[in-house]
Amino acid sequence: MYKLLFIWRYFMKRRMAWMAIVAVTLVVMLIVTILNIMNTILNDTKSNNHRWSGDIVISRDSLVGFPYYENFLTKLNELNAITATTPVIKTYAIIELNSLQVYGIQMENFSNVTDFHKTLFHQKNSENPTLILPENQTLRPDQHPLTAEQKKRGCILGCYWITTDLEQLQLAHETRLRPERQVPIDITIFPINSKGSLTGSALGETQRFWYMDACQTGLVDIDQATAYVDFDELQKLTFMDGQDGSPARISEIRIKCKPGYDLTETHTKIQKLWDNYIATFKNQTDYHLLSDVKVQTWELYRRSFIVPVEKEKNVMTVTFSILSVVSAFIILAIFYTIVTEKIKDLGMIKSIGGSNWGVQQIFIGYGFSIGLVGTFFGVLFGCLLVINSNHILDFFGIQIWNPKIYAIDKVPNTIDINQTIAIALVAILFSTCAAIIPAMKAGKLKIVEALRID
Amino acid sequence: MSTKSKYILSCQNLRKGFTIGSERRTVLNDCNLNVEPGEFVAIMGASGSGKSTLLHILGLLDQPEQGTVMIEGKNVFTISKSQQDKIRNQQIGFVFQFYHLLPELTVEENVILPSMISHSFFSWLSNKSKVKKRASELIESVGLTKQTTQWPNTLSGGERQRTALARALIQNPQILFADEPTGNLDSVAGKAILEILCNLNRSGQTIVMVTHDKAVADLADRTLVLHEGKLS
Repeated sequence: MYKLLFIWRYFMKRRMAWMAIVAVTLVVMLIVTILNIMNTILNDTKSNNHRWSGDIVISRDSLVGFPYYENFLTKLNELNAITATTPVIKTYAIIELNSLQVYGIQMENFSNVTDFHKTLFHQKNSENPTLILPENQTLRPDQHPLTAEQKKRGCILGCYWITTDLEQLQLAHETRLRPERQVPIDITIFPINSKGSLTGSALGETQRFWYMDACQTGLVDIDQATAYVDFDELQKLTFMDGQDGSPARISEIRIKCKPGYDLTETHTKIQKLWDNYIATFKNQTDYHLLSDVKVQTWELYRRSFIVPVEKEKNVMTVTFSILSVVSAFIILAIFYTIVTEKIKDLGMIKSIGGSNWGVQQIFIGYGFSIGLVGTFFGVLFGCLLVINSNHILDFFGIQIWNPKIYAIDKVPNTIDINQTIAIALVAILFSTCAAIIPAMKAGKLKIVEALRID
Repeated sequence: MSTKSKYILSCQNLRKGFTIGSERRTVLNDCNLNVEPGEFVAIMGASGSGKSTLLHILGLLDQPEQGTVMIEGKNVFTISKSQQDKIRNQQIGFVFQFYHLLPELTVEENVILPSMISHSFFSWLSNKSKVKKRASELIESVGLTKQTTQWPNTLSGGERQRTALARALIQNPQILFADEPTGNLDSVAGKAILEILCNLNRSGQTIVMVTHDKAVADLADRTLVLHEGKLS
């Protein structure tokens, strides 16, 4: 009982204890804030990459692409573990003298695999999102007469290609961007044949598309320099449709697994299926287009974008762990000072029957309570700071991240409960441990020596 | 080890020394003492003669290099640390020259502290009122009723020593050790403390007191002088 009394009194009457509490509070607040933000960025990066890639991607690092994909798609769709597949064509193009990536997608299939429709501004809630303009579409007056074919070509652009002000963009899609006010976009593409040479017109193939929608995938490389057009259109424009007599080609196959299926196991299964499949084309002259095709999980496919964020988070974690150790030493120093100041009192407590362990318990309990209170306020302030970070930054008119670089226009303000609990427990443990050495010193004190100190 | 003895406190062949720099100084050398129950013993000696060291050893605050100390026939330096803690808590009361009150506790809390130490959490809850009653009686007996809730730094020297005395008595100790109890007080406050000690002794309390003041020592039943490490 006397231990509780001393812990309480030391707590209330020692200003130095308040300093220790402030130290713990600040460190915990800092760690909770930084790690929650970094963790959310990492989780968002992972989930955005996962969503946009699908679960497994079969791809070749070349604009030439790979042939014989149709039968393989059929084989894939027969697998129990797979819920959707989609072919994708990826190429580079020029729009208004700016280069960008162009993806040829089958809207429905691509959306089934990647939830692409959910990233759209205009067609977000549409049941049938499309890249084909409706037939009764009234287009902006144009000096060139348009064929019926040309009138159908829709195009979706990455949001940051258009603007960094996403709120305005959203507003524009909700109010002003009605179909009759569509904008023409001329895309110039350079077709490549199966041998890797430019083909078609030496100046590239330019086609007029009509702006239909914008998308925000949350991936900076995609959102700032990507256009999506219809798969068949792009295959034709890139000469990958076999119009030159070679087999039709694509750049990627995106695959979505059924929920509950093990990704690694399914990946291995698909890799084996692919190996067996391409073995049947060994004698073909274009076999080399198949042999270096990669079957990758989404994490491997987008590794170059995920790893830097992971590293950044790890560096932050290490940095702030070191900071925590520093604060533990500060608390240790504070406790050491308190023990030194209280040596005579501790000698007195022992002289009236207080045990070594009892005296040690006072200081360990003291450290624990400082840790507990400091951590409570640290977690409280840290969470409040994270949750209100955007309001605070808006109030001061500060923008931390340039959306064009980070694809983040707001500070992530999600609290990871488990991580926050872990930080709190470690902080309390550190504070308690910091009290152990002074507590041991207090316990070992010889009564007479303690009482003699003036 | 416990044997029946007519002495409540005795020590045999106590030896204790200190090393100051390269010099070895023996302050207790074959020191012997026997105290009967209810006796008031005063120990005198020159400054630095080892009076306080002897009292600290008798009160289990320090250890001798050699010799035995028996309290109620029990050799206190052969028992465990926790048993020694228990003896310090329940069988011995100690009054120091410099009071040694705990500044974070009020007068009442200082007085009841030994009792709090002897109780576990739940046992304290059930005995709290009894202990508080005993503490208020003691505080009243030393004339500090009005100062019960005051902090030690607001008390005068005499009031602090009376608080220390009440704390030493809260557990009804068999032996009360007093180390120069009036050494830091003016004559009026010192007289009040001595009156309380004499009253306690009259009611049967065994007291061993260290003093260098002959007038104070004269109040005791027996006065011993510590000279060259021996009591005579």
